[in-house]
Amino acid sequence: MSKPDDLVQGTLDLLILKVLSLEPKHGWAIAKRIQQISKEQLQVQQGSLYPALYRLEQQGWIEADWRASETGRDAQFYSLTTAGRKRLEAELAHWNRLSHAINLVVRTT
Amino acid sequence: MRLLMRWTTRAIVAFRSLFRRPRIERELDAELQFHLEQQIAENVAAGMSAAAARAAALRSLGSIAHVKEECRDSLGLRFLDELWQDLRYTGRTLIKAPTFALTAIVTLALGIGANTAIFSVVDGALLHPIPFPNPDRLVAVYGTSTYGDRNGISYPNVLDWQRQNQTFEDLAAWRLDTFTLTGRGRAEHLVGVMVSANLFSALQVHAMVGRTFRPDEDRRGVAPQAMIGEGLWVRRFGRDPQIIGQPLTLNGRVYTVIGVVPSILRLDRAGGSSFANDVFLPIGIYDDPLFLMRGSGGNTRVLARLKPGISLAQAQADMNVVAKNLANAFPESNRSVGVNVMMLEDDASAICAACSGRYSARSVSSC
Repeated sequence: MSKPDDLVQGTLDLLILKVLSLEPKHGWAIAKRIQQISKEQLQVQQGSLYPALYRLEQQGWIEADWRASETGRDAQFYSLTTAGRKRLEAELAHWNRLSHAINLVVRTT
Repeated sequence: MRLLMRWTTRAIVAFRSLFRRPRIERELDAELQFHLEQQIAENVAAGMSAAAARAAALRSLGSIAHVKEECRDSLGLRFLDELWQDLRYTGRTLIKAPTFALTAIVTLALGIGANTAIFSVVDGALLHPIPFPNPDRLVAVYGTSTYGDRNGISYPNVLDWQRQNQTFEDLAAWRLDTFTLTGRGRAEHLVGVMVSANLFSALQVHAMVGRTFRPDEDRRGVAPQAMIGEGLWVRRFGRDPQIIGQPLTLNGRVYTVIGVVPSILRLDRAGGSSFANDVFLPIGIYDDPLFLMRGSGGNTRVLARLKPGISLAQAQADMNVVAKNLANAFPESNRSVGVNVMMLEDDASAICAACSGRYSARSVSSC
């Protein structure tokens, strides 16, 4: 089980923003979605997820509101703001550059 | 700049969070509770018993308190929490040890007070000394009345002070006035000083170029002469030494320039003003009727140089006699006019502190 600490620093923000770019989700669903898409390789702990969500909200990149969840119980849903969408593009570009560069190094030698 | 903005935003967020705090805490609880229940539901769906599912969920989620702490940290609340705790702790400690608290407060008060006092002295004595030779013999001489003890004095009284005193080498008069310079391209509004010829010998200031006034130029009915300040000399005349002997038109009257006064001499008055000393004219040529009245309020100021070996007290006693003589001779105007002699140094620092008028050099103009 991969701890979030093992994620490249700052990647959790990117993952959250990416997952939310499709539709608003609550915290639990965000963690599940990351787990599912990464084929169980990435497990986001609650201890990292919620602080990250609060931080992103403070930065104005996501916003939260209470809605009924699929089980009928109210949950806090997070959605991407316009600033968040721009931030996602920037983070994606950065990530692509970084991973491409690392790949080049790793494969060449 | 960006960093400043980020910190400002952060402070605002933390402040706002503080007021929305009860709501935030409730939402945080509800959100984590929801997460926990989802985990339990998933565990149950995977075939665990309710109790085992709950235990496993709690285990996998880690310390709720810790998570909440982290979230509060994200919101900037932890900083405020800790600050508040520290403040309360400080308060409690001080109340429990009043002797210590009192000692600390008194120590701080005395320390700050002593520092301020010493700095004031150093500032006056070392950083802004009077820039003229033998400053311990330089005094300011004021008129006194029921209105105050640092009054200007009328010009006729100054002339009698000069004639009758026994204790001063030079007793010099000065007054500020404004002048319009014309006849040399752009007209300019200038601040100038009218001075008695002996002001320069009193302060022992020499002309940079040319010469200072002679006593026979310091009276009405002679060809008017002028000196210019170093500032004006640089600004308008490009330090041209050929300025000596040239005409200068001030308020429509033509003066002949005889010298340049170095900028260390700057006579100024009152209220933290910083009047330039662009031109210097002999005070004795001034023929305004009010200026020549003994009983006029008089905005003429006096500074003087004590004869060697004369103390301040001796000079004061001397001037008291002069004032008494004048009161007898001119009771109508001088009945209640006294004299106050004080060290220029003391006056200068008092002036700096109280900003009630100052004689001094440009180096002091910052105070």
